[in-house]
Amino acid sequence: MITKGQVISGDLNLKAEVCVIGTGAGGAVVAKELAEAGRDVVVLEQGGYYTKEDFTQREDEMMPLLYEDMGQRATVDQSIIILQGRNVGGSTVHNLCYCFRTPAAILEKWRREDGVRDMTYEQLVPSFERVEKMLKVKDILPPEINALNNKIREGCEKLGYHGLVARHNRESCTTSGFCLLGCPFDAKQSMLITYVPAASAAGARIYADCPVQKIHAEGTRVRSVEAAVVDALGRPRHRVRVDAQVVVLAAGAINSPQILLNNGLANSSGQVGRNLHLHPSVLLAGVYDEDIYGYRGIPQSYYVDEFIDLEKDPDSGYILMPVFGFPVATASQLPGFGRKHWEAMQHFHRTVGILVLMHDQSAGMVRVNRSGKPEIDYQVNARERRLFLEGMKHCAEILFAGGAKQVLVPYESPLWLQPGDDLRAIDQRGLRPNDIPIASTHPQSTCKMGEDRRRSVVNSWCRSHDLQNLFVCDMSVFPSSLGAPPQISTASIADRTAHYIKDNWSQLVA
Amino acid sequence: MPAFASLTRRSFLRYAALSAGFLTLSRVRVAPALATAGATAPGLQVLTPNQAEIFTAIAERMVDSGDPTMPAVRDTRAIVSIDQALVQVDPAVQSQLGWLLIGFQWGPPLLQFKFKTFTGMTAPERDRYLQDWADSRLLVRRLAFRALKNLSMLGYYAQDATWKGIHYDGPWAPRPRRVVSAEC
Repeated sequence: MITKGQVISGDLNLKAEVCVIGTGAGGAVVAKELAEAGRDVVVLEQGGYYTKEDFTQREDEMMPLLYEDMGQRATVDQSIIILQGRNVGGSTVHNLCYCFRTPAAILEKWRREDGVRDMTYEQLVPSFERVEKMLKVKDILPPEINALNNKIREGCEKLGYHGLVARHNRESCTTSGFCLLGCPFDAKQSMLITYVPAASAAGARIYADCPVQKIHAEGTRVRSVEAAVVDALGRPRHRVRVDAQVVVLAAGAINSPQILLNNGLANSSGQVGRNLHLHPSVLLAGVYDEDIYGYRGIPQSYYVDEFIDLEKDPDSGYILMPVFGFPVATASQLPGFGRKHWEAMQHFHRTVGILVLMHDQSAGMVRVNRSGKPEIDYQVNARERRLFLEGMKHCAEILFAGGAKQVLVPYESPLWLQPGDDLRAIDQRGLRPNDIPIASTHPQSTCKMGEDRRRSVVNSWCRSHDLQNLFVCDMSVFPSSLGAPPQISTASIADRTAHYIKDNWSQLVA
Repeated sequence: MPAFASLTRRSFLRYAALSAGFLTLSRVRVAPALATAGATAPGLQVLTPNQAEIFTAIAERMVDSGDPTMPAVRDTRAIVSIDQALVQVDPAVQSQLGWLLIGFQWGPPLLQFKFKTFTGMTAPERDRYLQDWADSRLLVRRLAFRALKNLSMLGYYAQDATWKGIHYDGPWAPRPRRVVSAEC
C-alpha cells in the first residue's frame, strides 16, 4: 500500500517491526527484501508519489516535483549545484541509468583503509546479481547510441582514448530521451516501478509526503520515528509516529546526516556529515555543423575511462561522460545574457556536451543551521582543480576530434575555442568557484562505514556504532568517493544489509 | 546532467540585507514603489503588477536574441511561469525576491545617481546595468543577477513558442493533465 500525504486526514500512530526512511536506491531495496522476508515494514518518504501519468516531460513542471529544492540545492557559497531526488523512488526516478558495479579496487581500499569486512567484490556478487536481475540491467545496444554519444566516441577513437558503452536499466526503451524528467513510458527500471511496488506487494506500508523530523532513542536503542505529513507546498498538516524495532535511515547523503544531526544521534565519532564527496563535474560544449539533437535518444551510453585507473591509483582520476540538457537547463548553464547568450543558445540542436566527473578526494561537510536545514560546505582542492583543467582540455580535444567547429568553456565570461587554438587558454582561466558551473549528482560518504568507531558512523554492515537497532543504508555509507555512478553500488550494499538484518533478526531485537 | 543555477534562500537572504540597506537610505523615494505591493497582478499569485512589470523588463533583456523568429517575452506566458515557480518557494523567499526587484529597479537612481529607474532606461542602458550586476565584485550582486537570469530563462524557455527557434521537439506526449492526483 502506498499512501499519499494528501489522503491522510489525521495524526497516525503506527507500529512496525522495521521503519525505513527513504525510498531511493537504498531504502526501497531494504523495504522490499525485509517485507518479502515476512517483516512488518513501514516506509516514510519525504517526497511525493508520482507515476508515469504525472511525468509531463516538461522541465518547469517536473523539476519541482522530482528534485530536492526544485533542483536548486547548492553548496553554501552557491558554487556547486547538487541534484537529488525527492519523491518515491528517489534519484533513481530521474537518473540516467548508468549501471556500474562497485569497482573491486575501491572495495579493497575500503578494506585496507577503513577496515570494512566481508565486502570484497566476490562477496558482493550475489547482491549485484539480485539487484541487476530486479533492475533488468543489460548492455546498451549499438543502435541505441544517439548522435551525441557517437560524436564523443568518434572523437575518442580518433585520439586513441579508451572508452566503453555502459550497461543500463531500461526495458523496451522508446528512446524518447526524457529520462531526467521521469520516464512516462515506465521503460526506466527505477525503484519506483521495481522495488517499491514489490515492497508494497509484500505488505510494506509506504507513506509519501512524510519528511522525518525526529528519531527517538533511549540508551542504545531507537524506539520510534516521527514525521510530518506535508501538503504539496511542504506545509505540515498532520503527524505520523512509527514505533519500530529496527530503523533503517536511507534518506541520502545530505538528508541522512541532517536527520542524525538534528536529533543528536549516532555521532559519538563526530563524523556524521563529514567526509562529503560529490563527484563534482564541469562541462564543455562543442558546436557542430550538422544537427545533433542531443536530447533525443538514450542520453548517456558511452563514457571515457582513459583518465582513471583505480587498480593503479584508487585515489585519483576522472571519467568523461556525455551530457545534454533540455532548453531551460541549457539556457541557465550558458554564460552571459541577451545577444551573447543567444550566440550559444541558437546552436542548441547542434551542441554536444561532455563533462569531467571527478573521483574526488576533496572532502566537504554537511551541517545543519538553526532551522535544522542542511548547509553543504565543499571546496575543490588545488590538486583536483588542476585535474579538472587537464580533463577540460581533454574534453575540448575530443570534441574537436569529433568534428566540433567551436568549443564553449562556459566561464561567466565565456571562452570560445576554435580548432587549432592553444588549449592552454583553459589553464589561464583556471577553475574558480562561481566562475564556471559545477554540478553534482552523487553526494556520498557523510555517514561513512568502517570498523574504527572513532573514524566512522556505521560498521561494515551499515549498523550504527552507537545505536544497536539503527542502520544507515544509502550513499552516505561509502567510506570514500566511489569513482563510478553509484546506483548499483547503493542498491547492492542495501541488499547485503537487508540480508544481514534478516539473518540476525533475533539478535537485533533482543 | 543539467542544472539550474542558484536561486536559493541564501542568495535572496544575502541580497535582502543589501537591499534593505538601500531602502533605509532612501525610504521616501522608494515609497511609491512599495505602495503598489500587496495585491498580485491578474493571473499571478506572487508577483504584484509592479514586480511583474520589472521582471518582464529584466527578462526581455536576459533573453534578447535579435532573432525575429523568437517570440517576445510579452507575447508569451513567461511571467506566469516565473510566478508559478515562485508559488512553490518559501513565502519568506517570495518576499525577499520582491525586495530584490525593488532594489534592482531603484538601483540606478540610488547607486549610480542616474535619473532613471531600470524600467525607464533604454535597452542599451538596461544591458549595461545588467552587465554591472553580472560583473560586480560583490558576490551577492552576482548571485542576485544569476537568480534573476535563471528565473528569466525558466520562464521563457519553458514556453512552447520558444522551442521552434531552437529546434527543440518538446514533449512527445500531448499536453498532459494537471500534475495532481488524489488516489493512491
